[in-house]
Amino acid sequence: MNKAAPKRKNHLVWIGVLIAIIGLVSYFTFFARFPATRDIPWINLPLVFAGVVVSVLAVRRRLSFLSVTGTLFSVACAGLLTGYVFFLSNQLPDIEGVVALGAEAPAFTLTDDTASGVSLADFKGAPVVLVFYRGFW
Amino acid sequence: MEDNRKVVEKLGLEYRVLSDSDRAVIEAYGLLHPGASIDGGDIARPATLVIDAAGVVRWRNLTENWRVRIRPEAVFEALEELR
Repeated sequence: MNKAAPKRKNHLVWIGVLIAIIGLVSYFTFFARFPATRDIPWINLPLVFAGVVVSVLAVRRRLSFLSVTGTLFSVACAGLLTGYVFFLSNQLPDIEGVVALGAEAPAFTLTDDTASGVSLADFKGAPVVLVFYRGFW
Repeated sequence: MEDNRKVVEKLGLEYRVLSDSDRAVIEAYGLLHPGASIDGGDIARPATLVIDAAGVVRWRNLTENWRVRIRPEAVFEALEELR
């Protein structure tokens, strides 16, 4: 970063970019851990768009290669988060083939954390909650 | 199996963590999500199922967005209705 005394207009460029980066990265590294901020990113979406707004203000203050590049970068951050939240994470297969309500749950035997095989039949006589985890998103 | 054990210990889980390495059970339940894994392999569609004492699927939540998963309360409600 330029160590000469920065003019105010430069500050705005970096502030906008910084806000946008924080908005994007903090969703995946922090806020996504909590359902309240993960399901609807009411903290991170406003943050990235605030970054875009600040970047645009920097352009309005002084049109320069730096301010325009900064704005494009902020827009990219906002685009990435928006795309992920509203489009990418919706990409799930059809549910037509999923085991239907009222159908018998397919039998299985799988290994668990203790090396003894676990069968669905082991639990007959009591309700079972079966959760399919993916290991990440 | 080793990974499962570590997860159970680290989180103090009281339920079983099973491995479906060849995706056979995932496919049997119609939940295959092809190519969705980080390494390009196949994994499951997110899903939570409640199966009653007779082995019948009575409730399921499949989510439309992989970021959004059901809360435990929804499962408890479903289990209550089985009584």
